[in-house]
Amino acid sequence: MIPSWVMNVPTSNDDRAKLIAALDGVAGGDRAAFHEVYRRTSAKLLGVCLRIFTDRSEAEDVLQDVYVTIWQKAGQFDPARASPITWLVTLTRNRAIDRLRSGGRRITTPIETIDEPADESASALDSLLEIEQSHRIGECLEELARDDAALIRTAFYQGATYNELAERAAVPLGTVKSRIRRALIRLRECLS
Amino acid sequence: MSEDDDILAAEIALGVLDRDEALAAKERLPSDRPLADRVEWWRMHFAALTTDASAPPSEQLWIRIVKALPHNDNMVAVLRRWQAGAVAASLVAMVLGATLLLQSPVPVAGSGTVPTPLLATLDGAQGASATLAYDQDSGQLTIAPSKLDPGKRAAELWIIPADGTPRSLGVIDPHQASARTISAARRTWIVSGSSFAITLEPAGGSLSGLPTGPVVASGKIFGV
Repeated sequence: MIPSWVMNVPTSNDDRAKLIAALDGVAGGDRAAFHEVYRRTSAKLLGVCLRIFTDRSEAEDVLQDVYVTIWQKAGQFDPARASPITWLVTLTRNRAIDRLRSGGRRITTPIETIDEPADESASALDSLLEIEQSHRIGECLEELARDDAALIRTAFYQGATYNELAERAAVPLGTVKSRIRRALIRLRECLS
Repeated sequence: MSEDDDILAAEIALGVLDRDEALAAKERLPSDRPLADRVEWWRMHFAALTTDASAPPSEQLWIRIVKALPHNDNMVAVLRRWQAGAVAASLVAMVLGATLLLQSPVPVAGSGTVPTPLLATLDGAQGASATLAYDQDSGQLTIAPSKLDPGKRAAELWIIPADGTPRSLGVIDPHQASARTISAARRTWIVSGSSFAITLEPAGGSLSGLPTGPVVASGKIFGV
């Protein structure tokens, strides 16, 4: 008799394997596999777009580009080197930031307003990311000085470089670099 | 891994480097596995910063995406590789093909399983497409082409199994649906995961036994 808790083990490995198999199918031009990737990931990846674009129709435009890119580039995903969901989230975030910046839009949001999200509680995607509850980056960011955490978030959500962060925070470049590097070292300690 | 490299990995993943620095750093990644692994580690953690939001896209988005899809060129690339080496490869293929034709088909594993029909949707950059259905029991393959215009050339159908070598399934009628029974030796290649492709060949079909003309449609087989 199999104890019930064994049956209830989270299926993250299974989900991950299915997503890898579906991406492999997409690389071979399999539309059914492509729909499977879409079904499993579109809500989460739209969430990523909405972190960068608050406007929903703009976020969906980005998401459309993202899936067309997945269709064309799924063959570049290497399951030996990356987790499928990390690959998808990174692709989505980069595509959204490209669009944010290519619009010729000057990013003027003050750094201080880039605050922590309302809810960083566990989600289905986290199980795919295989991150243990106690080592989550949201909690680790809260342990940083508030200004340093805001710098990291601005860099991540808006694709701001060292130079741009220095300009926007009106501090010398060297100061921004050393603050971010110090924050990264503390994040690493917290995440490891 | 030096301390500097580990921070560099974080900087790459976070995206704070200026363009030139980022390009120089990313050039190292293909040949520096430890650095690439650390970048991946950081990306995985930063990715978790985006998981607070989740929102189902509107119903129309999937339709918009399908309409925006360009032709998937993977199969074209496979065939081009073959065409590039066609002269040398054709000799190899003649020997290989002769060997394979002598082998009997692999029996379907697992008794009691009901074989399901296999389907494939083929499409191409110029708008040609075809829907194929294959009955694993009888070996009957049905081909329904659409907007397939070979001009004076012949439309030849190929099966490309996991080994990546195209095998001819013969010239097809480009204008209307047709059906044929696949020979026993060729049935082993028509499995989920293999791909079909249609190329334009001289009248009567490719003489070399390998595709020589442009790929007008291709697609992968899936079960239902």
